Amino acid sequence: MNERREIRIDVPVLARVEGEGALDLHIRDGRIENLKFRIGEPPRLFEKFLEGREAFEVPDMVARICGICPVAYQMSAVQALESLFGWRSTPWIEAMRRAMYCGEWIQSHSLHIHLLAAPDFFGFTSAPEMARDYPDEVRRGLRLQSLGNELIRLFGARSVHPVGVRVGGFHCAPPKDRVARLVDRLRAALPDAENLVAWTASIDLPKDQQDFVSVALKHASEYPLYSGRIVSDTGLDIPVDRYEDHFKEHQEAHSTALYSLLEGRPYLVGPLARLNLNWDRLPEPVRSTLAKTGIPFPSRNVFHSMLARAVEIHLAVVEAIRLLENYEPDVPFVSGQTRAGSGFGCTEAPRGLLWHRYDVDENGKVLKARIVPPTSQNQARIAEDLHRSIEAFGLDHSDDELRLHGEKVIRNYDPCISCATHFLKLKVIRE
Amino acid sequence: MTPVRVLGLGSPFGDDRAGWIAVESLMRSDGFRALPEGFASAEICDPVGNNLLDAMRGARLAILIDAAQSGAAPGTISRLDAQTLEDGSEPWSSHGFGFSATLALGRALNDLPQDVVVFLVEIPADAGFEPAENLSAPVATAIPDLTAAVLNEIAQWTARGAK
Repeated sequence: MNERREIRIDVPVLARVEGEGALDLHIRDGRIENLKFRIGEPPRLFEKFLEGREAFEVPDMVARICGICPVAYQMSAVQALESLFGWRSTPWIEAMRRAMYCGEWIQSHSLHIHLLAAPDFFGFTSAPEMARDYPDEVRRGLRLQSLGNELIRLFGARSVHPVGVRVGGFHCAPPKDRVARLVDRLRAALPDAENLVAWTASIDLPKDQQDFVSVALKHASEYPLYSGRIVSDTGLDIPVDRYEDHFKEHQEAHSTALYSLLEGRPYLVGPLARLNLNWDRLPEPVRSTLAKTGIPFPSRNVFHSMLARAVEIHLAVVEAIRLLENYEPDVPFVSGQTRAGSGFGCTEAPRGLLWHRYDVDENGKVLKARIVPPTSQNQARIAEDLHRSIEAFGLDHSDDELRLHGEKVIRNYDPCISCATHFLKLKVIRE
Repeated sequence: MTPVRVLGLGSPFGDDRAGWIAVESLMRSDGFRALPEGFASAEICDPVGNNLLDAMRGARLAILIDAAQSGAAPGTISRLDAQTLEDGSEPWSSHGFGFSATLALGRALNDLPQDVVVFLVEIPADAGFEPAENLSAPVATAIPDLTAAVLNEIAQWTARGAK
């Protein structure tokens, strides 16, 4: 029985998020006549892959949608399927899901602030360049990111495309000593998280006040992560299964990613929208740390997204400590019968609302899947923001200056596409 | 946490597997198995970026193995010193904080091991990256030499330290 087997696992389709952002600006008589923000993304067909699959396969498949926020995809999926099957998860499972999700917020937000967004505001073209002048700040970012990855690994065995999540809970409960060591690391990271809030608040950001609609989950008592109702600052307040009644996706000829509108209007999801709608749910000491910055929320300055990310890192560290400091292993999952019907799930991915719907047949197989990620929800808002910001910035600037400003605006949304990097293609027609 | 760490970079696609397969071959080799317990470890390292810096942190010698397209003859093995590489100008993002950007960041922060050696194996200009594709013949032929080069690197480094 000792014969060796060669096992090779082939992934049938390249699942990387690829794409590029392009901005076409048509300027006539000193005004923007036409602005097109395009996302060129090869078709990924994920919703189609899921059709015909067993419901229990879904968490591992959707984790492959994104290398940065796989936990979010897993959490929205298991929530949708469990609600359909009528499985009631335990307080232990809910708490551990929230703890794992905190890891994803910490790693994703740290990466964005330190390596992607901050260089813009200090006049550097890249993080390695910034690291030479601000080594302590960049090191802090890397420390926090590693901590977030470790928290994901605790439950998911690895930080990219974790495998620990199943419909019903987790495959296993982490050992107590490992959790205790991680809680020590989380405690040690509190000063980093607090300093990060103060540092981010001190950055000289553009003072660009805009009128926009914020949409996020709202939970009865907690800052929203894994559960809540979908609310907006225009009075929307619905359970997650009513999402399709109010939000409509549509295709625009110039972009391959879908646009989403709330009652016909663009809207914002993500850290700033969450904080605008949930600042009153921040626990101590996160609330006091934010208050010390003197920056009031809700904020109409979209550039405060970076500060909101820092606040959410602090929140996630504090929450993870609370959830894990008295940790005891427990039964890691619930199970039961599957049943036919439609299930809905919605959680707060680092970049905002992530909504899933699964239609499942009587054999527990997926008939249809619908996944609405945050970046497509923000796409119309990004286009609207670009229009206003670039006009406010001044159209008499050179093409290079306009491109850099456009990149800053787009990067601020931390869109899950490669256009968050430094290669926005800009085409300007001046007449 | 071993003082010597070998990390295979790449993906599960065609010749981009080269770094992973070299690590597998290394781990099966008698030379690697004969190294003292706790001295050297080898693993495949999927994502670059901060995960790569984490994977190297605390090591004294890190050896990175990857596939490359530089125009050399397919199967050519090159050896580079990561401390003296120029910063690349590749684009980077949350999803693609690339190899040279990662090394540039590590250098800027003095966060690389004292010795970081990069072994690159040249893959054909027309290499396919289809999921089911095997290594191309010249790359497959180079794997034993690559494994030997890594073992030789570890031996020389150890001998330098002993002096």
